[in-house]
Amino acid sequence: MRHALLLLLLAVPVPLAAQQSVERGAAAAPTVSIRAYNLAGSIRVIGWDRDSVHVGASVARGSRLYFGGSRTALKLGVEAGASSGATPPSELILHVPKGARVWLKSATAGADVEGIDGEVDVSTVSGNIQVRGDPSLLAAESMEGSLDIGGSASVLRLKSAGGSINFKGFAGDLTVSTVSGNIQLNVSGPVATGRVESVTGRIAWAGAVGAVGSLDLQTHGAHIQLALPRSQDAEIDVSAFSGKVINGFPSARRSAPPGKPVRYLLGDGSAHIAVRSLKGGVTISAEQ
Amino acid sequence: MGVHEIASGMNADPGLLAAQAGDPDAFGTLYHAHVGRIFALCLRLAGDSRRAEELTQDVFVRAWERLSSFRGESAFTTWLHRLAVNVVLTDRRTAWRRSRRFELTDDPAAFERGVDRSEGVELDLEAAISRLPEGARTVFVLHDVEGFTHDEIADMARIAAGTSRAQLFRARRLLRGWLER
Amino acid sequence: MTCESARNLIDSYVAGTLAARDALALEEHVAVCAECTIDLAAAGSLAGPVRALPRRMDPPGDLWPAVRQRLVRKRTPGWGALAAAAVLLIALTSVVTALLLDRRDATTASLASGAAAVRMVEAGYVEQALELEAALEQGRERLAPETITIVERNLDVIAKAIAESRAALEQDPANQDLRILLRTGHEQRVALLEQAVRLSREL
Ligand SMILES: [Zn+2]
Repeated sequence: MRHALLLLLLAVPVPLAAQQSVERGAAAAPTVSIRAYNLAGSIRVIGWDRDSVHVGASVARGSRLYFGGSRTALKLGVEAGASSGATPPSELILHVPKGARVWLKSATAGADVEGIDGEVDVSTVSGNIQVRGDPSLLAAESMEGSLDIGGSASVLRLKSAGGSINFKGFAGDLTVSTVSGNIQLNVSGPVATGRVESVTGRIAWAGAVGAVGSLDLQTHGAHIQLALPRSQDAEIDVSAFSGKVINGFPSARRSAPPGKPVRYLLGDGSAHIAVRSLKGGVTISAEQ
Repeated sequence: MGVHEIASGMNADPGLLAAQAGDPDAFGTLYHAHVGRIFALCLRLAGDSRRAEELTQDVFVRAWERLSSFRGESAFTTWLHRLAVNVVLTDRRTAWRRSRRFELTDDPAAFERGVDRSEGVELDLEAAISRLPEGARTVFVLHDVEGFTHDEIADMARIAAGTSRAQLFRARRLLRGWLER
Repeated sequence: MTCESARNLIDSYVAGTLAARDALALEEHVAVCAECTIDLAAAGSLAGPVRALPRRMDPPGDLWPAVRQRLVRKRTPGWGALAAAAVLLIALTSVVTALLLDRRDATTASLASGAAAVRMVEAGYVEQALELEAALEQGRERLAPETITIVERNLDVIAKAIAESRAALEQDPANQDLRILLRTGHEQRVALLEQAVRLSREL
């Protein structure tokens, strides 16, 4: 099997000669707005401590690198040649001021961002998205690619229809949504507002909810796992219509107010958590 | 307070009937009677005047399209306000990333029209509301300003009533903190 | 008294409509609870200024000409073409078909209240989805076949969820969680269609 794969790889014409290296650079404001696009291949953005933008690209033959704009707004990307069929892959590596606002767009290209403090907005069709760092606002959206996010953002918006979403870090306001992708969130520090929803993707939450914070976890048909710190103060309303609800939180007091779903009270119940699943089960536990 | 007080007998209003029958001028009269309140609602929910103008237009266009489904079970004002809230909340889905709009306009200058607000300046209540995080702002405007109940907000915003309550208290704390600084 | 029940009383306390016994209980709780003290103070200090906010504000410019123009456009042949596209799509769209059947079959009283609850939630979404599907149809050849497959697969997942949520809500029309679940299904469907339409225009 392994041999077959190796042979297959060797049989594919490696388009080294077909790639051309291109470098571009320009002075830029510390908060420069950058729009970059590369449909196929990869796109990588790294924040640095300089007031300039540098682009190193390996562009497929027939494609060209577009680069233009001003000190405050730059647009760059790989433009495919006129040939029909799939866009040949190009690699794009950008170094930009840390405080930049960055917009990335790709189709199958994977997008990788690190070290940006400004706003980051990434969108792909099937390319995977990885972000490391502390952007002030992070919006990442894919149709089929998976999202792997680490760091902090005061506002975080993550979305994929078919891809999975993984987040580890801190977020004040957080919205996460998938159709069938699984969602795994490890939130350090209390979230102010969280909203997590899927149709058939599993949801796993681990982290705290702030004193007057709120968290809504909702799925149509998958399992929801909710792990909270032992010190969490919260009122948890759980509506599981056909799935099983398992409470493994030792100090949770259970009640069922009239006309309401099952309710668990932790401490004084100052945060509000709602968990909703039509067909899936719900597990509540204390964080290890 | 708010919308629910107003239960006028507009159902029998000949202007409303004419508008329902497809008369744009009669609809114009309705528009002018309500635009002030709808714009105020959109402005507070959107927190941005230009966006609020677009939303106000969308609300009335949608009202026109849906007018035939208004059966007078509630006051027209109530119906219109609910419709407006739905239009604004639905719009968030598209505009959930503010940058979207910039991309669609393809106007480089639009990049610079961010949401920058100078810190430290004393805020009036209106400005403070516009600074609230979206979820908290929504609930504050709908509950405290417009007079919707937590249950109504829960339905419209797809959150639990308890979430709506928590957001309201969060909004009030933030507002008080800013206004007293 | 817990913080949760204290919070539920704060608004009527500030409005002065709370029964004396409850008011006293609230005051006792607030006296020993720092969190609720903050919330009561915030509610009290904001009530007046909020009441003083203007109910109406005029838009900076006259929006009526623009609105009026869009009304006319909706009623001209363009609308007919869209309606024709819609008719075509109805045949393909199980969600819409099911909704129309609901409308026709809602004869018995209990069904009617279930169907009414469904209609309340679904009002607007169906039209919106149809418009987006028509737009997507137009931009279809600009999308890669793999992308179309992805979109359709996810739309199927959502359509199935919507159908199940709708059936559940019809059985239990007063259930708020079911209303929210059904609404979420429609939101997700429209969001996905919008994402696809955007891709067909941008890429
Ligand atoms: Zn308390």
